[in-house]
Amino acid sequence: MKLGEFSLLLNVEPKWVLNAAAALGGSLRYTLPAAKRLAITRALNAALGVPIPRAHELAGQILARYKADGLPVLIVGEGKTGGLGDAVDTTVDVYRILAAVYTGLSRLRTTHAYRRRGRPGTARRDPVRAAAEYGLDLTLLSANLGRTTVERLRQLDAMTNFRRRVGRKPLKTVAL
Amino acid sequence: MFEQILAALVAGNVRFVVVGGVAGTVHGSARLTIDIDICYDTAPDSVARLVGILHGWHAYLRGVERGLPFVLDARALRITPVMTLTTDMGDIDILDIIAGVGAYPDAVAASEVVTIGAIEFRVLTLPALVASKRAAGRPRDTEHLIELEALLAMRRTQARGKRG
Repeated sequence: MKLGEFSLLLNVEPKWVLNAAAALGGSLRYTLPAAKRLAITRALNAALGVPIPRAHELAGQILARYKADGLPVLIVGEGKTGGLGDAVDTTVDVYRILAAVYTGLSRLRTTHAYRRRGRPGTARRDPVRAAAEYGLDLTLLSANLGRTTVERLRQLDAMTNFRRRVGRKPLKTVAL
Repeated sequence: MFEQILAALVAGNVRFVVVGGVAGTVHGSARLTIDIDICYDTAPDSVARLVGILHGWHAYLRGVERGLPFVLDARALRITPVMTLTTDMGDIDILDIIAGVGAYPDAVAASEVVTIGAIEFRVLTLPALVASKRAAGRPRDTEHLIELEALLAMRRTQARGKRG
């Protein structure tokens, strides 16, 4: 996993990850367990004002105590209330924080892709010629433009359903 | 599948704009897409209805193992810009912002109304779709972008032909 992917799991800017790594005195390993721990670290830091190193230490303890039953974990005497200066007891909704990390993981595995490096090309070409040169079948586009929106959408539906059916059924071996 | 999803969202009074591959199909793209992408209104009433519908379809995260922590409620949507879900009705990606276009109000401004039978919904216009693909800048979108730009040029030529 790279920095960009790791940041996606935490739903933060890469800069935040780099700053957190610096606060923790070294480089982070960009792994799923590290993301879970850092997600809890971030929540403690944001909600209670606990400094990152202490929040990271607490996050490790919270994950060790979390029993995967969805119940929040209680931490005692950490952080400060608004202006009172008193430490507070807090329950941490670990399940929800982990759910957010897994939502990022789902996005990473299904739709995420790196941005193209460098500046986009500025040369203006005829888009139709460019598509033909790329190898796209323009007759398909012309045919689609001759169809109504309903026809186009139903055609897509039919193709998608076919693809799903084919994907679901195990292939049969036919004896010849 | 897509028609059923759209009909259910419209019937459920969810405010959304269709973006991504299905929007491309509406405009004439020949690419096969297996999921529907929508940009949704983040107003609490609409989000609550969207969440209710997704629960009814047993929505779960796509591409990850079953049984992992997953929360689908208004709070989860508020902190998550994109959710990639698999449901009983098919795969659906829900977004609160679109690259190159903006959030739901911007998406509405850059959309047009499409009617299919009794259902009426909004779809990102072809120029806005091209802008979003350009802004995303992902190599995997290259082919789709080339196709959409060609479609845009062909439609403009077609429109000029009709006027002339």
